[in-house]
Amino acid sequence: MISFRINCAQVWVRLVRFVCKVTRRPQVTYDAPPMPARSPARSAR
Amino acid sequence: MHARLGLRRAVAGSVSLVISVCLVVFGGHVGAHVVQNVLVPGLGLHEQSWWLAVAVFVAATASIVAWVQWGVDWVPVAIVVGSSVASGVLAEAGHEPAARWVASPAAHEFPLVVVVVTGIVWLRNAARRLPLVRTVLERRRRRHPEPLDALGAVDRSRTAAVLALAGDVERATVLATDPRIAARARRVGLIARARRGPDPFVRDHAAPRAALALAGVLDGDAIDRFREDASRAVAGVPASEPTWVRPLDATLAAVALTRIGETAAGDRWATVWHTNLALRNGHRPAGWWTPLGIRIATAPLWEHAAASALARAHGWHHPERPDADWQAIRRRLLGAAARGSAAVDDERAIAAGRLWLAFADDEQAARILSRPTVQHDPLAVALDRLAAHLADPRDHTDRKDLVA
Amino acid sequence: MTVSELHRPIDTGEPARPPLLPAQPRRMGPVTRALVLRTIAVIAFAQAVGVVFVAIGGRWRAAGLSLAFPGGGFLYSAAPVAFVLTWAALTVALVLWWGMSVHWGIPLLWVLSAVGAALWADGPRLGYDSGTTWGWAIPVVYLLALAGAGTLVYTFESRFRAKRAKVDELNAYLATATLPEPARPLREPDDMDAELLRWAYELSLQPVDAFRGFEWGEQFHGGTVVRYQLNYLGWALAPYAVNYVPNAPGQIELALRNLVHKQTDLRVWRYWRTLNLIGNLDANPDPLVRDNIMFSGFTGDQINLYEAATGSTIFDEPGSLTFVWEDGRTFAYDHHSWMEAVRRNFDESRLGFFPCEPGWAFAACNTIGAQALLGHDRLHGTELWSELEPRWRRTLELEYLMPDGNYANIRSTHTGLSWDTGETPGGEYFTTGSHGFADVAPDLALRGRMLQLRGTPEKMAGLAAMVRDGELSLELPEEWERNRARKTAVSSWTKLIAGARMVGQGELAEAAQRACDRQCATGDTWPERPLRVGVANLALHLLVRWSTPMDNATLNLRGYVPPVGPVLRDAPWPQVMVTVARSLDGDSLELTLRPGPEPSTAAVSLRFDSLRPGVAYEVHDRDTGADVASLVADAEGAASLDLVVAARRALRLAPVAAVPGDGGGAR
Repeated sequence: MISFRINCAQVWVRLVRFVCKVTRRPQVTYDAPPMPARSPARSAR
Repeated sequence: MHARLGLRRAVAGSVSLVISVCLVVFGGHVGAHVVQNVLVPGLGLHEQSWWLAVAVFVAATASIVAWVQWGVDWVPVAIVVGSSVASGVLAEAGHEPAARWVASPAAHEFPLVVVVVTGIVWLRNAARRLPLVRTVLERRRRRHPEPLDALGAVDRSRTAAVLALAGDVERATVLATDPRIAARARRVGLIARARRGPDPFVRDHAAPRAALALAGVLDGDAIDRFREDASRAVAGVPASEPTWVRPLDATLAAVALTRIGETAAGDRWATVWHTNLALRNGHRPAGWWTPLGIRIATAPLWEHAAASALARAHGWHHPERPDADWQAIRRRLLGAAARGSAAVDDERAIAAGRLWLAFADDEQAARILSRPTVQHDPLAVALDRLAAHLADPRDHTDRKDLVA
Repeated sequence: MTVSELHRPIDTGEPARPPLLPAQPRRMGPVTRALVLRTIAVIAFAQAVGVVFVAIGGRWRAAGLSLAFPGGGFLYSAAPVAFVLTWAALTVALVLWWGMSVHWGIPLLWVLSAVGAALWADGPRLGYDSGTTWGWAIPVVYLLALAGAGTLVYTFESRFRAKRAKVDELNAYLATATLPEPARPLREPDDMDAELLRWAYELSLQPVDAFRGFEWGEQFHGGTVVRYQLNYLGWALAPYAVNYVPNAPGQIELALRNLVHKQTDLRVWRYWRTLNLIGNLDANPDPLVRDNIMFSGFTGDQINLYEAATGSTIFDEPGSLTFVWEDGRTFAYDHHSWMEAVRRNFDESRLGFFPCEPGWAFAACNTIGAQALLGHDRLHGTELWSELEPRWRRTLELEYLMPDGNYANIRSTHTGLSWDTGETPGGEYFTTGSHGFADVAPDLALRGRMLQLRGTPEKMAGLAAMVRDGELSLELPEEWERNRARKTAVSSWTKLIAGARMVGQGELAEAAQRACDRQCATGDTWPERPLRVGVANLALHLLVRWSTPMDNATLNLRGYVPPVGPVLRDAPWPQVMVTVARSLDGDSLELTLRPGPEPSTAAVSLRFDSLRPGVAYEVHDRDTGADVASLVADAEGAASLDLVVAARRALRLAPVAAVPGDGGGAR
């Protein structure tokens, strides 16, 4: 086993937090996120 | 009816072609400007003022949207005619006209409008997915926390009609008699056709009239007007808005007319359903313009599913391919079920798909479609109730009413 | 092994003594060596090309130096900031390589640094004239390259030698040491067990498309990944089913079933399409056909344990586990085709273990995949595991085993490299999978357990001495959970409880459990959590808490055994919750009922079957001895009882005598 001296798991979490901060989304929620709609969000009328 | 529509289309096409050619050949520079402007409203004015040209184009586009939405057909005609006359009057003498080739497609300007309208509808739907637009719509939704409050007048009528079919006549009556529905009908009638009478539903407005009829609220005179309107209509049922027939509204109207004894309306609608509005590449149109019998855009999945399921329930399907619509929409319905009921259109599609499960012996689809919980959108909830009503083996009486 | 009077003895195949560690361990297994040599060859080729470019001079020199050492060309071009930025980007690329299988990240950056350095050769400089070059950077770059390679070789070699030096000592220990028998008490669930069960049920019995109470975050790694929360909950409820409510399968079967169904919700598995696209350049969303053992193996194991705990065959039906993509495409599976997909991936893998994220093969996940195949063999009489077992063991022992008995957590299937990625302490473990090898390799389980527990009996004895009158006055420090959304002490308590049981310190384990409840209780109910911890770690706590007397390894080996004695077939949820339903003698039934989340003041109807036909039964209160009701089994051995459950009721249903007549009634 080699060593890169980088804790990938911790850096990953920090990257995720950074992305969440930039996109202003919470890191953890307790309701499932809605699916991004492929079809239009509402009907024509 | 087909021959009549075909003749109209031929006459309209020929007349517009002749007029265009005459304008180009004999009208000279002025004629060319007029034809340019008819083809692309505003184009004929671009040499005079770019701003004016853009303003005319935007106004024409908005008016086309209003035409498709509310049947206000005189506004785009007025804008196109007015701007075309103005472009002819303002055209400079001796100025080389823009490329003559622009005149030749003028004969096809109506199909071009169809393309433009389809494009506008697509753009509108695509725009709703953009982040900023989504945020605005989300804020609007939050201002109306009660889903019923956020429901538009036409969807309200549709919900009432479906609830009535599902057996919940009480709630259907409350919804169908909402004053906002009549207010909208009055506005549309006034703006599109200058109608000022006491009855806002004297012509067209298929969905509200179907809801009122199914809820048992229409009086004798109103029923007679409903029947008369249907007998005169090209599609066998009243239009949704002046000159526009929409699949679900028309099907609900046909169901309502059948229930009040006007079975011929159902038969005539069935003919239109599997000829003029037939499946093409797995889709049915979002609207049908009755003067020339032209299909516009494609119906949203949920509307296609709901209308076709109701048609199937009444035996208005194609005699040789009763489940053709199911085959066409099945996979898209499963996709909606996978996406879940968070988006309104998906939720309605799931509920409408469940209507079809009463006829399609499809265990896999039944399992997939039954998983999402339909609970947000009132129209979706109503469709879901109707689906349960169709599937309930104990409820024979109502099923017999509904199912031919 | 006899686990208790509740379960029949089961032969787990554990030997008396463990296998010893190889006396002459290899540095790498044959496949790993081939992959590493290939990686070295590619880098050597790049170095050779770099040397040629350096010799050519000019722009080519800058490019060549970047090939020698990423960003080296920027150093030559007097652009130290670009050099630093290259290495910052490479660090991120390394993490993304691990995290999202961005295999092309590092090579792309390396090549881009060469192209960039070449293009910048005559470009502007910060604080220097355009076109300035630092000749001294040439030897420095090569020194850095040598130092980098040397460091990697040194870390590998020093670790290997340090581990190899321990082999004799460890083998001496393995040859002579004995471990105490683990503690496997038959527990009576307390109030906190009931709260935790209620939480687990409310989480599981909500509509299948609802996920209230689950923790949603990024779905690639860590505690916010919902599929693992579903796995762990399924793993935790399975032993509860066999240890506490084997004679009342109704509520728990539905909970376990729903947890499996939720795995087919698009929001849970749609991450795979992104990973597959990035890592395999494959846009297929099917989550089972290729790689993704973290889903196929884990959930496959969850399905096995569901079937073993409840006897249900619902997922054996074709198409019972269908994944639907957002465009409506369906990928239909069932228990059998699911396991066949797992087996096929094992067979097609060059390394012998197949990847979770594309290009990354984990020992833990491949052990759980092995568990899944074994469980299917036990339930359905197949040979999916038995045929694979030799190759699987060879991979584990040759490609992942380290000299001191640890197994490397992860290995790249592209480069053969392995390092501590921070997911587990030290990036290695003595045992792995969710059963510690106990079912798939009992001999390795014994060896791993012995190595892992060196010194533990003494530590636990010290803690046991702190127990006074069944109470442990201790609070453990809180530590960050993996997603770093909160701190918790529950994970540390879970390890302590598990460790205590493993060395036979049952009393300490019970006292530690009570201390954990005391320290970490929140008083909350679903959708919050009764203990101050995230969903994933709470489910792992439940897994340890409820894995006695039978654990999942034993359950996996045993398969399904129908309950003996009276069975409570129907108990209405959410009015009432069954926390105990077991028969120790095959005739009577111990029953504990508690009010559910929506209790009723009216009597609830309980339906029993598997009673002795025509026999009268009496229901007594176990705590007070008072008579509660009587009933008579009908000709089919069924009877029902109406009972008010306003508080905890510990009952015992026992036959009185054989009397003629049908049906039953409650007093």
